[in-house]
Amino acid sequence: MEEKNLGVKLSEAWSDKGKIALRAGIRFSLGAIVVVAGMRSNPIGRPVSFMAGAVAFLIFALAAAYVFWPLTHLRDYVEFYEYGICYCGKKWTFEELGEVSFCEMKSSRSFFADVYMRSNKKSFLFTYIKDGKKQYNRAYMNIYQ
Amino acid sequence: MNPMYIAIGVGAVVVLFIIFYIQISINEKKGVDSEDKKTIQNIVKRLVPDADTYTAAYGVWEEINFGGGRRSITTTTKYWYYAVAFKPGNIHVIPLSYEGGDVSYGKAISLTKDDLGMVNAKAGDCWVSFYDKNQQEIVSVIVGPSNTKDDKYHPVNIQQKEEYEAFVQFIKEFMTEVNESNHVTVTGKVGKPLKKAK
Repeated sequence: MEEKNLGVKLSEAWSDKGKIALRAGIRFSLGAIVVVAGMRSNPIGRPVSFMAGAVAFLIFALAAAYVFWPLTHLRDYVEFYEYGICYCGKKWTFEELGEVSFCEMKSSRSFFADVYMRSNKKSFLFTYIKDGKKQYNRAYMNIYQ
Repeated sequence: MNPMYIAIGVGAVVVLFIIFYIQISINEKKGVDSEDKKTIQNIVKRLVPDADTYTAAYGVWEEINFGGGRRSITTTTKYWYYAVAFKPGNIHVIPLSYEGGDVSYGKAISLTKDDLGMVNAKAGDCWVSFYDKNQQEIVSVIVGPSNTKDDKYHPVNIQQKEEYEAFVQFIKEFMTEVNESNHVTVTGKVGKPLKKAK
């Protein structure tokens, strides 16, 4: 595979651990409320059948995945280079990416907005990267001082 | 319903309105000679040759799109921010970005009559869209008289009534000059510069 020459590194941005902890914490709290409320009305006991136990376990696993999902972004990072970027270890040249822009997307079902760096090729999740857009501006635009 | 609850509700609305009005008034006063305005002027001085002969102003552009299906409607709003420098026959549009306390700027888009195929605007309004000789949009911008720091998507306090009036006059003259030289008639409608052929 051809090594991509991205040129000189201009800036970088790493995961926003505070935001990840906050979002995981909120999800955990909501999940805990639901579990405690459920347990109070349905005390834990042996499952009625294997199938019921399996379904209960599956629901628990999906809930745990939802709660701890933000923690999967602890290793997110992005490096900005002269001719491209390296996002979580994968390199992209600006020739491949085309026009780049940033957007925030907020669903009516969520408290928080997600931030994306969009390109013609792919959208990169920047929600859990601290000052991603700020570092992009510092790399490729002139900062007024 | 208990009249006391109605009175409390009305009172709360009045108090919120007063707070909101005071906040806007404070932001408007701040914008008259604000740091944000000086930043725009300084950026223009850095990028535009003979900047003193130009009028510098803050410009924006917003685009709202609706999408989605039956159960949900998605609203997408895009924002662009610019420093604009103009004088008769010439305009420079400098893209800006406000992020994390930084103000950053890109390369100036410099436009004269010879660069343009069409200018779409409505005489008397403060918005304009510039198109090249192939009638492809280059940039669109609004220079409004009042900008207040309402939220993260409206990041500056800039009052610029004189610049706004000068911009309206500039657009009227520039549009006439460019469109007459290219033999084009525009509609004056945002996003639809030409009438569709029947």
